[in-house]
Amino acid sequence: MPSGNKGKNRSGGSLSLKTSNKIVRKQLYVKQKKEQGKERHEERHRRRKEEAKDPKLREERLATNQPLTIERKRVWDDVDDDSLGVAVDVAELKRRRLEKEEAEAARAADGVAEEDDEKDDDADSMLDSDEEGEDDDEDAEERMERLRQERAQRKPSIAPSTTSTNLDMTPDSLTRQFPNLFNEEPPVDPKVLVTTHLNGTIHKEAEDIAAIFPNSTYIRRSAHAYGHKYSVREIAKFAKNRGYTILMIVGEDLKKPSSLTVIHLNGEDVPPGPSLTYTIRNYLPGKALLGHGNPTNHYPELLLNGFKTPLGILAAKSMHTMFPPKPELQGRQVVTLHNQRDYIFFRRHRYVFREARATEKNVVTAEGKEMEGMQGIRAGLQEIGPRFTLKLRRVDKGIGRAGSEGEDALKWEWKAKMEKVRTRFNL
Amino acid sequence: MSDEIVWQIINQQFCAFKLKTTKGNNFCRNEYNVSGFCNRQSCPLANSRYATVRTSPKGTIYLYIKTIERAHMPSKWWEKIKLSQNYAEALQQIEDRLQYFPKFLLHKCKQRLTRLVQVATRMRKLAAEEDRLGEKLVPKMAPKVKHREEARERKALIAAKLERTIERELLERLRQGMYGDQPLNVSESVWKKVLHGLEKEGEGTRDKDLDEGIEDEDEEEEEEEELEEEIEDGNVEYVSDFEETDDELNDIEDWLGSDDEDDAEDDDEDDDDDDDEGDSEEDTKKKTKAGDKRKRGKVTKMKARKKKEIEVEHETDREKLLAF
Repeated sequence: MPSGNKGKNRSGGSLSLKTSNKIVRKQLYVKQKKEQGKERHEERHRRRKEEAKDPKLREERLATNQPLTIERKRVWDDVDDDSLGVAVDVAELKRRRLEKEEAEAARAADGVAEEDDEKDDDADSMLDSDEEGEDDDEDAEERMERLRQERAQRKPSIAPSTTSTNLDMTPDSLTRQFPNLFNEEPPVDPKVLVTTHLNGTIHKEAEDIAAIFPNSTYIRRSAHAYGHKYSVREIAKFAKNRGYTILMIVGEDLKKPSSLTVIHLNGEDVPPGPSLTYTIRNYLPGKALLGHGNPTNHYPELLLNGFKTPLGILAAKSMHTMFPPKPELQGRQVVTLHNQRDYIFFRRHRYVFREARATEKNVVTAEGKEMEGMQGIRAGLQEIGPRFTLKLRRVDKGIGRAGSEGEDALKWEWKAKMEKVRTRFNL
Repeated sequence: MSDEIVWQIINQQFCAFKLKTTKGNNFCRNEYNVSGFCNRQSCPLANSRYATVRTSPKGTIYLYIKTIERAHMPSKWWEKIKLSQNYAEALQQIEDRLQYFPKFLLHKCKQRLTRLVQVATRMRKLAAEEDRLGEKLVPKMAPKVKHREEARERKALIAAKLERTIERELLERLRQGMYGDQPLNVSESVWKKVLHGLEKEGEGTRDKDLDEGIEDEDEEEEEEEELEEEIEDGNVEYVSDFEETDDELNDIEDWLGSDDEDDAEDDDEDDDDDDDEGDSEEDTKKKTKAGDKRKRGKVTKMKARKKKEIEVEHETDREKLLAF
């Protein structure tokens, strides 16, 4: 009776599905699971032995079995445009353009292929070597590519970090649109004025946020409920007269900071520049963090990670100008603004370079390889102060929505339909 | 006489415009009613001679007059007269027009005019204030979008691997020498280790001529060069001092940093100010600093002078001083 084929010969199914006797089916299922587990265990054991003998196998396996993350699946806009709002990797775009130019130059001047190669060397070092996607349209190009790569290999260059933003890579259209932001020579020491929305009550949090930026002051928006309500444009004018470079407005919702508007007040003769509006989420003051430290007023170092598109570079540059250009390294404080999938995580740490403990591994680069030359060295981090997440929502030409005039008053606005495609990001 | 009949019916039988409340008030919903109550005097249907003041949707105030002569032409009942924008003039206009009308209507019309003018003024003032403040209420995010963003943020945070990334970035900077030849933020032993490691990897000698002009590492190279030249040291000469300070190193905890930091700090007066905070860390730092001063009195002063000179030079030379 408890036979495998009781008229229901389900081919392809597991053994346990073939019995109609529930008790036997249960037992068969347990047996099946055990066997599967055993198989897997043995497989892994065997693999580990093999890889212990030959570590290359492990590398190969890891290289082929890379987890398919959203970052890897990221979708870029397929245009040769680098205006705000286009999801284009600026580095990639530059590289593609250079390659096109080179290809044209090569086609134009056949006999001077070598000269072009030399020029390419200069261009080569500025190319990001992390991503692929070279266009090998013609044989000549292929030859040039090979030559280029050979030369690149000959030079012992330290590969740049792939997460940190390179602000030199700003596209020309951006520098044209926001000249005050990008052509600051020499860079000005920032002076930040922080205030809240009308009738704001989050004075403590706003003060903490002000304390993040060296050389900043927090001023209450309203003296009392019946006092004169200064508009943002008026405050910007006063601040500019007093030499402030940045005006920040912290909005609140239910006694928690919910938005941050950064308005760049430029020098004289230049109207106030772009204003970027972010929403704040998950605001945690220093007290809420376990083992937190207290900040000192040393100028912190700045880490800007993961800003790839023109919009991202604008945001990065804006945040760059909020901090003094020369950090005080003896303070050992670092402020991180890390962009991941359009969410900018703000963290403040105090770091120390120390020797690795016996149980610690070596630090690994973004690609997964161990960092050369840094064996046995780790950086300890102690978190200081508030932590929150920012998400860029608007970029206005002037002081917020009301203070911008002209056709391009609104440079970029976040719309919910941008999030339809899960793998497309704006920053 | 027909007015009486109309009123009897409205009052006693049915009026579509009448609204009765529990407090015993009868309101009239008719748009042309002057007072808003359902009274014999105020009923626009039961009075063949009537007057009201109303606004148009755009805000202009009109005087509406109904006369017995047009009682048989309902479509032409109301004579619409535009009143002046000037309040006093408008009052005069009403007085002129309703000269022979019952005092009640005249009075009520004037009252209505006053109120409407006040309301209009207030609205204009509020609009101007809104315009001056320039604040527009941003609608709240749809709950669906809010939840979606929350979930995505959580996952993005995990994908970001923040502490690992920060550590990696900092070590990259150290490796590339962005902190200069004698970095202020590393202890001596660790820095030695780094240099050792770099030499081993064959990247000990950094080519300054490698990338000139517009490149990736330009900012870093510049910083590096700048800092190197700034902190030229005479430390190399005083070998014996190093060993003494190394002993001190062992006594200090990880977080307190090194004597090297303190040496570099001795140079800057600013750092002294910074260090005048009442932390226990700072106190021990001060002590070690004091100890160091005794050992390296002259060296530090020399360094200070050199640094200041070079700083001045470089501020004019360097085009970009980007923070990292």
